[in-house]
Amino acid sequence: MDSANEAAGGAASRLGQAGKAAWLGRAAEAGMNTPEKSIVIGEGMTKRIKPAARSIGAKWYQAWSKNFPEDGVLMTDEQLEIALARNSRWFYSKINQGYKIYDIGPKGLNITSPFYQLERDIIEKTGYPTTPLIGF
Amino acid sequence: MKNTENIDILKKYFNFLITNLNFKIKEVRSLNYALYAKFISNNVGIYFSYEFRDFIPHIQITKIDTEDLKERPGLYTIKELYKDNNFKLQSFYLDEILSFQAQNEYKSYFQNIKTIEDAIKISSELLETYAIDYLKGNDFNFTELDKWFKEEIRMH
Repeated sequence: MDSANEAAGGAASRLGQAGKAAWLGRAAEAGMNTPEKSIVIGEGMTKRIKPAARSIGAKWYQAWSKNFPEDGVLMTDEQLEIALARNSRWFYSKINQGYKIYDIGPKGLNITSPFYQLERDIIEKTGYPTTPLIGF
Repeated sequence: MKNTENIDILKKYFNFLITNLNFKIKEVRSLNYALYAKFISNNVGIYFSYEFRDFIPHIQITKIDTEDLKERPGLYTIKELYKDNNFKLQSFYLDEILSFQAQNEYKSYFQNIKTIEDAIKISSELLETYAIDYLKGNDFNFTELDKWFKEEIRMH
């Protein structure tokens, strides 16, 4: 678990259910009080996430340029781990800041993106509320 | 690697669509982080979408009446659309076709890939092996897949 996890979801789990609920409540409340602070998650960056985020004035995770293949070579397992950790830190930071999370969901029946899967796992672990966003 | 090289790779492995099944390439967009392409026949459209950081290409196969091929909306939106009993989905991803046929999970085929070419090659082989009836626009196959898909959504 990386340091961001320790600071956020990890902290919530150490607090126990009551503490976790209080922590989540504060975060959710912060999100509701500042509706401009929102992000969009899901699968499909160009055709789904970006249009969805722009339609509601939300932010989205900006993929790291180091994730882009050079000479046609995809990320190694180690590089993927680093990239996922970066995504995780970003996502936990948004949760800690009380961002409202809009979820446009997977493209189809199965999640194939490791980055979206990571975000869904964090939501599952923390119980942080999300709002399904239809139309994308 | 120049972006045009990825287009060449795509054309190489998906050439069977053009030579065997009368598809034509309608659009190709190659970026440093992704490769997108549309193939169109007289009744089927294929939307190829590969965002490299996700490792696995998405291949959407759609029964079409015109050449206006759009990306299918996501699962949450389809759930809403299915609330209309008359709604019939005519667009499916290759991984859903594999699931319908009880094949191995789509992403399991990509576990050992190292390059963009590896991924494109595997996706084209799976498309040709398991989706040929859909590529030909067989109505029965699309109808059966729609029934299965609707049931899958109801169960989940």
